[in-house]
Amino acid sequence: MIMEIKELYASMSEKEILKGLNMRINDGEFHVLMGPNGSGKTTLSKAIMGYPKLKITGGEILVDGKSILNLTTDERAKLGIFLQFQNPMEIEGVGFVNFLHSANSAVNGNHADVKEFMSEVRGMNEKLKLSGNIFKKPLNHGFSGGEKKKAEVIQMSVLKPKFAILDEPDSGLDIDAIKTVAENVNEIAQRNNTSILLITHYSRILNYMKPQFVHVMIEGRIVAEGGIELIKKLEAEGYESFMHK
Amino acid sequence: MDYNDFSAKAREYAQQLPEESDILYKRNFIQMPKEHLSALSEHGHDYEAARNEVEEIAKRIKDVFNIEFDIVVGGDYTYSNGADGVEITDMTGLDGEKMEYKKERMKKNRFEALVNATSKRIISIRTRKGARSNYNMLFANVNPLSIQVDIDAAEGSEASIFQFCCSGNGGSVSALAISNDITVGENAKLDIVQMHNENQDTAVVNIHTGTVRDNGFLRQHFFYTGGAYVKAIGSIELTGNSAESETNETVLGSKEQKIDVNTEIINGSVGSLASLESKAALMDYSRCILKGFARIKYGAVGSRSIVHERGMLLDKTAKIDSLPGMSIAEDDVKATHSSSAAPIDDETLFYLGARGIDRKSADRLIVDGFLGNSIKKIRNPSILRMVAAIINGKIDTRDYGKLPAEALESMWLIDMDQKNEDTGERLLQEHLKYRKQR
Ligand SMILES: Nc1ncnc2c1ncn2[C@@H]1O[C@H](COP(=O)(O)OP(=O)(O)O)[C@@H](O)[C@H]1O
Ligand SMILES: [Mg+2]
Repeated sequence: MIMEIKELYASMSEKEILKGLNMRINDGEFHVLMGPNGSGKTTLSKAIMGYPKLKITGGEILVDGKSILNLTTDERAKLGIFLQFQNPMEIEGVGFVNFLHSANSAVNGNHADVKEFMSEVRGMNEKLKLSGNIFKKPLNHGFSGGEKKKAEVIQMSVLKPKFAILDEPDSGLDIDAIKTVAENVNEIAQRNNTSILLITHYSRILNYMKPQFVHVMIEGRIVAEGGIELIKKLEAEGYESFMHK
Repeated sequence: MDYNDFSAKAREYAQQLPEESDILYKRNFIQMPKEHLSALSEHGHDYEAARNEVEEIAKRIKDVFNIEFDIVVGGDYTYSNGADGVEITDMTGLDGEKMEYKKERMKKNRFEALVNATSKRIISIRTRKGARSNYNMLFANVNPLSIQVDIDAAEGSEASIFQFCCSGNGGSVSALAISNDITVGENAKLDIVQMHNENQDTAVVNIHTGTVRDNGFLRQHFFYTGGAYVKAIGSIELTGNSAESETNETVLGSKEQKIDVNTEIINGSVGSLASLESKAALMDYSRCILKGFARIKYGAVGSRSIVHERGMLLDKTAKIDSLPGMSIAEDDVKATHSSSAAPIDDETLFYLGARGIDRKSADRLIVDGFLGNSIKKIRNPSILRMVAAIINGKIDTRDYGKLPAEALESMWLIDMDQKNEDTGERLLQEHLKYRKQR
């Protein structure tokens, strides 16, 4: 899947957050997006996913050359776009397995064989070093921070997206959990040839993931783009050096 | 007091039903249609036909849900299979003391007077000391139905009662009125599940009055899914020390249903615990009023009272009024109450959307989740399956008053049965089979 974002402007409650953003992610590529808190990274992910309250005031989002701006969120998901939420929603009473199964039949269309489905879910659970606990709980309800992030990875595995945005999958995780999450995401992406846009502020997770392209975002715009060397520069100089370009 | 006086009083009070036009009721009151209620006073229905119809309903429920009824009421027809402790009498079976008690109650509750004035039978259920028992009761307004039920759980006994209220095939304006008079004795436990699935031609009047003695426990669970109009008026008083009551009310409204639920829980004794949890999920143009009231009497030292009312609106056209209230006449008590009503949360819809789940499926998941916790409290699996089938069917079709043609395995059961993963898989399979058929 080719994801192109062209001169994108978006505002939330009358406040302009994305201010002419450009980005192109080709089939199977791995990009990382870094930027200070509040620069608009999560907002970009919502724009791609079609968050109804976000007003797109200019520009385009194209998938394989076709605009997706008129599609609803679930239609975008069915195209193969996946968003790992920075803060996954808790939903009362909806069991995790029930939810996962509904999502799977919605996106993959097939009423997958239940045995196969359950065994995939159980396998992922083990690989992510989760206890069986989350099967017993309502979706994200009473999940720890780490469990929430890992449950999102199970969803990615089941839904097999063509393009995945991972919004700070490392935040709030200890170093072992970061490694586990990163390795599993790598494996899922490889298996499905998923292009990835990884949002993070810390380079720690990049010890386990190998992005090819780096974008730096400040105040709703991309201010620098390059290869992995940009991260070294960021580590040495912080965002300060990008601020006044 | 003799029965004729009582009956005359009941008829007099029944003429004075509160009206929406009374200034006191203008807001937050659902007017019951007179045409429906006056059907309760009609006479001369075909007894044999009623009997055949209600027995047919009982048989279908047995075939589909494997629930057998001990007591069957269809219009004026009343039947008991001779279950221990059950007695069916006409109104002369009321003793003087009971009449006095009921007369006092009628002064406060004119709808109770209506039931007393129109019912021809009293079903009494008396458990034996220390015994365990359960009773399944079917009420079908194949003809207009009005009945009084006296339930007396004797000291140390444990009983479960299931009451299923539904309609027959007839398409004429009708009503179903039931009044449960409940006494829970010392150290007794009584669990009542009452499900309403009457049809669109029916107005429902549901009265329940309960008293709980020392260390007694009364658990009641009401499901309101049926009836074009519903007026429910309940009052539970904990009169014994450390008595406990748990009342759950679950409303699922659709079309133009109007459901008015008034429940009072009273702590009248030391160390008593009363809780009321009401939930309403509303679709289409349905309207619901939840009026939970907690009263703590003077002297009820160390007692606790909890009222939670929650509403969820699936459509902008649905309307809920959640009006919890309380009156506390004792200092050393704990009382909590909360109420909330909201449309389905946008963030939740976005999250589900991002997982490919469209609006209709999202509604279903969310309502399943919202009501699931209440439904999972039902302990008898056959009853749970029946309630789940009716509720799930209603979420899907928005229709009510029909008997599901088959027991579906609900997701609620899957979540309930996590220990045994194979069962989880089996239930999921069956659930999908059901979904596919729709
Ligand atoms: N619902 C909202 N209404 C108004 N402003 C918002 C809303 N959500 C986020 N913002 C603002 O948008 C900007 C970007 O936020 P966000 O995209 O979450 O940044 P990041 O993910 O880079 O930390 C911030 O200034 C934030 O305050
Ligand atoms: Mg963010």
